[in-house]
Amino acid sequence: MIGSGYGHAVRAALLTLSVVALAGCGSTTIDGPATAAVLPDRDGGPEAANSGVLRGDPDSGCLWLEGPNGQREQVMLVGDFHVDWTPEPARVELDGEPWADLGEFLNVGGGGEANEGVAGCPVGTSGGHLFLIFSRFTPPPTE
Amino acid sequence: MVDAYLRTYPEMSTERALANLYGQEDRIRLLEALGERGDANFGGSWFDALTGIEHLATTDEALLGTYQDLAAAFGVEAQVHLVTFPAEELRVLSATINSGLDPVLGLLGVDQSSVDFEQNAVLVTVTPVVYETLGGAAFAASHPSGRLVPGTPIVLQDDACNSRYACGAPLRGGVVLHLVASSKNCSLGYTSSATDGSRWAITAGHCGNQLNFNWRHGEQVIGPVRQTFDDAEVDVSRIRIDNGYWRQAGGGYLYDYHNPNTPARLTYSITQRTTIEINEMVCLNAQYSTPSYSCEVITAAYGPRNMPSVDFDACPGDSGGAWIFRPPGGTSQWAYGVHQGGTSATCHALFGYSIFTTVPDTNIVFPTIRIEVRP
Repeated sequence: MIGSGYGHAVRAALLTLSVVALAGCGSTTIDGPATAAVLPDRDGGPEAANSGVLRGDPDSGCLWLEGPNGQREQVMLVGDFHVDWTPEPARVELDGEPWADLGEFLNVGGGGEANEGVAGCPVGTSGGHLFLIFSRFTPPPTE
Repeated sequence: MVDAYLRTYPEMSTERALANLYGQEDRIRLLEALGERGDANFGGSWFDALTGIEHLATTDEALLGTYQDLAAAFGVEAQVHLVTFPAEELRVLSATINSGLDPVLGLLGVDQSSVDFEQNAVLVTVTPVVYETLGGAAFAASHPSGRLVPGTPIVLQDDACNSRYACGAPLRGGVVLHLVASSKNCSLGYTSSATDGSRWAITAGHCGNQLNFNWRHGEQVIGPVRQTFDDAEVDVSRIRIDNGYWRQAGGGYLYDYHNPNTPARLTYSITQRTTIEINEMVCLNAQYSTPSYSCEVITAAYGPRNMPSVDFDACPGDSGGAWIFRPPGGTSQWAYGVHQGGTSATCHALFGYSIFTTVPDTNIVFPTIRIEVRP
């Protein structure tokens, strides 16, 4: 679960400070929770479907989908995604635009792939596999 | 599971049932290894649950020792048998009879045939009148491996099929598959069978890449993923159909959007990769396929990932579905391939593309199984 209230604000402030500190030391990246669950863009995309409430952990930066029966499945985002953990709720952005808020129910497209997942994530992988999210979609009418 | 054995065999001891269950995985590995050998002379197999002995048959005397050694290597107590007819010959005859294409039985044979490997024969149930008319001996003369059995012909009653999400047996391409205990879902492409009698559900590799995880349709489990590929031009998985509910209902069907309660017959399957060419029409039978959104032309025989590319924007959840060709006004349906993906950011948009794993490429990576058809 993402943190909330005071604890979350403190963590976000510490994260911001650490990024500023790293930048001051010559680092030009903001690697860490913002992109821990993000993989580089790929051509095309597999079209398996998945759904659930998007959850995440600001400490490790991992994300997962929570199903209707409480089952949790760690996921990763493929493309130019970035997770902003500072607002409450935290927000996922794609190409700099809002894509989803944590706590939101999502229908997503993608596919399974062998992946060790994000280190320190409270939700483990499923048999060494993750669901990679390539897109968010609205199921079309079935006529 | 012990209870299941004892219901079928009330005379069986609990110890025997337990031994059978604990030994099943070894027998599976043995049969998988036999299937991978691809022996044309393989005569089939059967398991005697009351004795716990596996029986392996071949038409080649030279293979008897090989099979015995192979069984021992897997720790399976087995007896080997020299038989007259290979398993593949029996399977083909049974499929021909079941589909109503046998020149002697015609429609009398539809869904009445079964292979009995122990008897090394194809058994066909007919009414006593038909039995007298056709003559058991005369039939056997024209069908050396076939036997008529007088009795009450089977009337297969399909379960209700209300939608792609809740469709009773038989299992048919185009219905929705769910990973058990997950929200992940895909579509079923085809059912397939192997010479050892095992049956399989074919979907995309990126759907079923977690080996031994179970998949279901509706509330009925199908079985575990046993093999998966997702590399270059191949993205397919095979799920073993373990649940008797699906296994016994037969295969070679597709979901019919216009008439869900009557499964559509898949009649043929292409066998050559070169059959797929640009500007031919193909249609997708998958989770979100509708009459308005299913058919488009092939834009490249070898497109992204070296798969055929289609001018069609499929949707997440369509992965694994069946790409087919259905001639206008005709009743035949040709299996072309298994949906992989494409423009995943959109769904039924005007511009977009789809790619699929071809059936011939699937046959290469799954050499021991073939898509079930009903010509």
